[in-house]
Formats: sequence, C-alpha cells, structure tokens
Amino acid sequence: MSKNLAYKVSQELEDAVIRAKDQEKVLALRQKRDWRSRLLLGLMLLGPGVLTMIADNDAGGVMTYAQTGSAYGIGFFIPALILSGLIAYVVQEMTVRLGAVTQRGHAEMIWGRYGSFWGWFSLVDLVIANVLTLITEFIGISVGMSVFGVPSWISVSLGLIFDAFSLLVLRYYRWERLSLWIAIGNLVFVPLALMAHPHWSAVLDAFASWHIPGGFTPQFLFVILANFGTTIAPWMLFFQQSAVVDKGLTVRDIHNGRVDTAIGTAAMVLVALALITLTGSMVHGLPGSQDFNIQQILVLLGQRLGPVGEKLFALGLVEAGTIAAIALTASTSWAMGEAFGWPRSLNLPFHKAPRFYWPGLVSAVIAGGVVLIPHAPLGFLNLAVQVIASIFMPAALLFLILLLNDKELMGKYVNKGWQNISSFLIIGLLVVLNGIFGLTIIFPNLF
Amino acid sequence: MNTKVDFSLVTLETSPAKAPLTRAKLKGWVNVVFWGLRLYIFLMLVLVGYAFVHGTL
Repeated sequence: MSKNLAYKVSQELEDAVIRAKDQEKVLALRQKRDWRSRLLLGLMLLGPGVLTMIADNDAGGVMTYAQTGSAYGIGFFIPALILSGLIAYVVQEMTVRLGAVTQRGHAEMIWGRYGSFWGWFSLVDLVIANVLTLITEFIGISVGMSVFGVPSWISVSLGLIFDAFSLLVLRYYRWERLSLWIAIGNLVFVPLALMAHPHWSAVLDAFASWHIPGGFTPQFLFVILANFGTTIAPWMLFFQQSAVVDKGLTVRDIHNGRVDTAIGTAAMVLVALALITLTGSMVHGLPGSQDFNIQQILVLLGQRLGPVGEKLFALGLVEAGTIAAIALTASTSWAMGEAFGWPRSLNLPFHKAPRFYWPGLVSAVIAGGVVLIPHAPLGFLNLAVQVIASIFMPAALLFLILLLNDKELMGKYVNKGWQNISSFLIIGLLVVLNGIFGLTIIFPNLF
Repeated sequence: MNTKVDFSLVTLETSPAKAPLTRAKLKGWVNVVFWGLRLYIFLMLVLVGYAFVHGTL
C-alpha cells in the first residue's frame, strides 16, 4: 500500500469512527421505547432538513419577502408561499432518500453517474452561484449590523470569522447543533409579525380570494417568478444530501429525515408568512411602498414598532445571513470534495483535509471582500446569480429525478408512481418558471 | 481513537451502498431528455450573451 493511499484510508477510518459513534447513539435510542428516548432520537436526527429550509430564508429571502409584503400586501402571497413550501418539501425529501441510500453526495452522484461534462457543469454553476449568494448574505449581515452602529468592515469580518470557526473547529454533530441554535433565531420574525397587530380576517381572507392587488401586471409577474423560481435553490439539493451523508444517516433514518424536512419546511413557510404579514400590515399602502428598499423598510418599522421592532428585524437579518453563509460555505466544500474524491467530512480536522476546507473558506473570503469594495456592482451580481440559477436549476432537478428513478442505485427506495407524478409536475413548473424568470431578467420589457 | 466503538455498524450500514459507482447508459427517453437539457442550456446561454452585448443585463 502506498504512503498516500495509507494516509487516505486512515483519514476515512477516522471519519468513519466518529460517524459510527453517532450512529451507535442513534441505534441505542432506537432500541428504547419510552417517550424520552423517542424525543431524544427525534432531536438527534433533526438537522439537515431544518438547516436547509431555514437557510433558504436567507438575507436575500428576508429582503425579498419584506419587499413583497410592502409592495403587494398579504393578499396573494400567503397561499402562494404555502404552495411553494410543499414544492420545496417534495424536492428536498428526494435528497434525503438519495443520500441515505447511496451514502454519496449529489456532486459525486452526478460526476460518477453522468460523467465529467455534467459534473463540471454542475460544479462550476454551483460554486459561482454559491459565491454570488454569499455576497448577498454578507450584505444582509452588514445592513443588519448597521442598525447597531457597527461599520461594514467589522460586521463582515465578524461574519467571516464566525463562518470559518464553525467550519474549521467543530466536527459535524457540534457544527449542526450550533447551526440549529442559530436557525432558531430565524423565528424572530414571528413575534415581530404579531407586534404588527395584523388583521387576522384579512389573513384568512387571503386563502379564499388569492386576491392580486393592482391586477396582474408585468411587475407582479416578475415578483411571482422571483418567489417561485427561487423556491428551490441549487445549493439546497447539494447541501442537504451532503449533510445527510456526513451525518451518517442510513435507510433506517429516512422516516426521521422526512420529519426533519417537514419541520424545516413548516418553519420556513411560517417565517416567510410572518415577514409578508409584517410588512403587508405595517408598510403596504404607504406612499412609495411599491419600491421601498430594505433600509427604507427598516426605518419605517422603527417608526411604527419602535426601536425594539427595528432592532429585532435587524437581528433577524443578521441571523438569516449568518445561517445561510454557514450552509453555503459547507455546501461548496462538500461539493468540491465529492467531485474530486477528496476526504470530505466536517469530522476531519483542517490539517487532515485542507483541500476540503479551502474552497469553502476561499468562497467566503471572496464574497466578504466583494461586499467591502466601494461601488461594487452588487445589483449586477444579484442578477447574475438569478440567471445562473435559472440555467442550472432544470439540470439539477433533472439529475435528481433520474437518480431517484435509478433502480440499480435506489433499490426499493426508488420513486413511487405518485412521487414521480408530483415531482415531474413540480420540475415542469420550476423549469417553466425558471426559464421565464431568466428571460424576464435578460429582457426586462418582455411582458 | 475510542476502541469501544462497534465497527460492525460502519460496515452494516454503509458498505452495500458503497459499491463502485458506474456510469449510467443513456438510452430511450432519458437520452431525449438530456438533449432537451443541452438545447435549453444552449438557448439560455445565447440569450444571456445577447442581453449582455446589448446592455440589458
């Protein structure tokens, strides 16, 4: 055995030992039938699904939902967001099964099953989109911290240090627990929505009427496409599957993985609804509310809810940027490791897997650096991420559904008939919406 | 390294799925779908290039 191979095997063994310890704890809890053990088991298996869904409510998402509520109120988007949550669940559940059955990440599956062309295509798109999305996360952190008088360079540096700490210092299970604690902060928008004293009758009425304020205009179409078209971001597929594998979930854990994903979906939709309700109640209808940016919305919330409201919203924005930055950084590292066959686990210390950690760290540093460049074309970068996602998303979804129908890989866990019908309908809808969304970005006057 | 760990868990849970990953043979409707995907990507790249050149992006 060569020295390199021996080293690689020892790394994989060390990683497997740490994972086996976690699996042993899960197995021990599975054998007990009392309610306390069942609860502990459920809590232990929470993670990839909740983190993926909460990180989807990232800084960019918070800004989009807040601006949507400000511009259009609560009429249409409350039922629409529930539908988009269902779509997200159906797609993400497939990544749980794929990861648990194959014990391989999404990038590794595409690379190994469909060859290096599609492997490179997916990897390059994913990494570019991740870096661009990370930029929006650091913008969110910077905007949120500015409410507390913290200059951009300090807030971005703190965000970077925290991101690097979580990636480098913590092994998978502790990294996941820390991330889950941060994810709870996303719920801060719920009490904020309650502080807005919304008209509950109007909220309920939204389900019955699906009312579109101002009619179906081109601008409204754009907002619809932005909300639906980005319901499932490419990084989510890669991230959740990699997390399932790194956590060591197996076919026995698929049920808990589904519960985890369902809880995450419910939390994601709840927070999105809270944001729409908050700005739909507090900001919508004011002169110019159609075009308010996030800073204007923050100031208005401060005026109407008091400084506590403004600061809570700012904290929520910082949390949303932080949790998404953690997820995106890990997603980049996992995908690179899977594509090139490097040791790829958060369980390994930096000195044993530097090639795994560097891509994530470099992506975060680039994104943070761009935010600090004066007059950086942030609007263009935001458009670029949407265009890349609209080109990449159909491919990512197609690979997912093909892999889930691959009996050789999935055995009895292959997609069932109803799962294929619903997932093909969803993929068709997302492909059409992504395509139209891409067109509207490229040709703003198309509709 | 903790010697109390039950290594059987590692093999039992993961080894069946860790068989070598072989390249899928694309045939029938799957092949058609892949060509549709190539066409979609090509058209989108042409549109992005057009928009970039004409300053709408």
